[in-house]
Amino acid sequence: MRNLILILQAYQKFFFFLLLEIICLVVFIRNNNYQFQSYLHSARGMSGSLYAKKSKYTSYMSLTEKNKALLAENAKLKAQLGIEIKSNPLQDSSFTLKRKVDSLKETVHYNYLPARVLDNSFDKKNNFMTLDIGSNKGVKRNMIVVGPNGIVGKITHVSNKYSLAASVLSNSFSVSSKTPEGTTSTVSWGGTRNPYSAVLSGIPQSEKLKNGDTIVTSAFSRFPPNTMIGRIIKKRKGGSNSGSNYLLKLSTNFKKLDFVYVVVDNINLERKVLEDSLITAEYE
Amino acid sequence: MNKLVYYIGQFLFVMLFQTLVLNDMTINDSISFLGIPSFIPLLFPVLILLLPIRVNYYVMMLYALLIGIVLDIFSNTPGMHASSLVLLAFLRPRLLRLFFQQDEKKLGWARPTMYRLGFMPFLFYICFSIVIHHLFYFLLQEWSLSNILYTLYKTIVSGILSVLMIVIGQFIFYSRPKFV
Repeated sequence: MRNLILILQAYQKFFFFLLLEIICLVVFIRNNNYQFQSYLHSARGMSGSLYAKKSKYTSYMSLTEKNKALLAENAKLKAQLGIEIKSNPLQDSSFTLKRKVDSLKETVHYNYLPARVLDNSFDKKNNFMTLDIGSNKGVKRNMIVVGPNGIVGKITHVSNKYSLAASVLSNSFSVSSKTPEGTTSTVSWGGTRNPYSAVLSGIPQSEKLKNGDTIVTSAFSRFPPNTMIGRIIKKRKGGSNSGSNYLLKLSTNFKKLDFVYVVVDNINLERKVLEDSLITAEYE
Repeated sequence: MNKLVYYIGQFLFVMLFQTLVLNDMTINDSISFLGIPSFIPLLFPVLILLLPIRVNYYVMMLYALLIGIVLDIFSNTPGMHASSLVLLAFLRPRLLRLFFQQDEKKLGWARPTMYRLGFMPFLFYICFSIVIHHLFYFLLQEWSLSNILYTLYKTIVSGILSVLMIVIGQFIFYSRPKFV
């Protein structure tokens, strides 16, 4: 016992270092995943408000670009709605056939909560973005985030005013996808480490995809079906017998991401509850 | 008292510069054709490296832990910055002894700045420390040895920029002393 104390005294400094380092490494290893449980995240009050202040000043930097993006999105949405533009208001419209839609009887599958990206990273293995809405606007864990051009990520941490979303640029994040011919497969970012591209894997050898083919989310994914993921750039070398791999260009430009939507799924509540319970069981 | 205010000011300045400016400029766009991964310079090790030479060991270790935890909160990397900074703080007295063995008593409470130590010894000291810190940090981030070349590549490109920024910072923030 006395010898032990003597050793501890002699190597006091080293043991102090060892203690701190082991604490840090334990915190790191327990949370080395994009769904980490630790409290050390930037959706918290102080860091969130600092990022909000930064965003307040830096958001003026590229207003023209943002306005253009919003305008393009508006045009796209109008095209989807199919709003007629009457060329001549005096024209007799009594013969045109109009489909009546009762909006009350229609079910709304998804509600979209608009959010701003306060901070975003691309250089790490798991990348996160801080959003300026939190549980006060009804954001919950595992909600999906989409952008104007395509998929973005998934909410992992929520505080009262801010929330943190793991972006698709995370190592173990995979999205169920669909090719133009209907084959379902998986898109993940793991292999590329480039904020503009992702890997589409598990395409059967019989199916040949061309450059520029669009890949969208399938109905199996938790993203709204047929949300754009990206376009094929080229076939990747290698790949196993089970299928070939392709390189995708992501349709969302993560470097210029400013406005996103948090998707509130009204239909698949039951499925969601089941999946969430599975995920929390897995990481606890 | 005066010194405490100085160190708090230095802490706030470096941390705000790192989280608000450097973390945002992910350098990739213009040089991505070389296959260089996205990287950012990490300036904050300078907070540990420029502490006075005879600073209390335990104070330095706890300071490193504090810097690490604050950075972990801001960049969503629990434990990663903290453990690499604690390692750097542990190795700092050894690195100082390695490069300035004969001057250690003479320098005393001085900060190991460029004008005190001379350009080349300072550069060696900074390069060694930055390489150790960055390598450990990126190894933790990767958490596998399968693509070790990628890790080394990232260490080198990020380290060069970090060293450059620290040396430029020396020219900007420290003036040449009147007497040597």
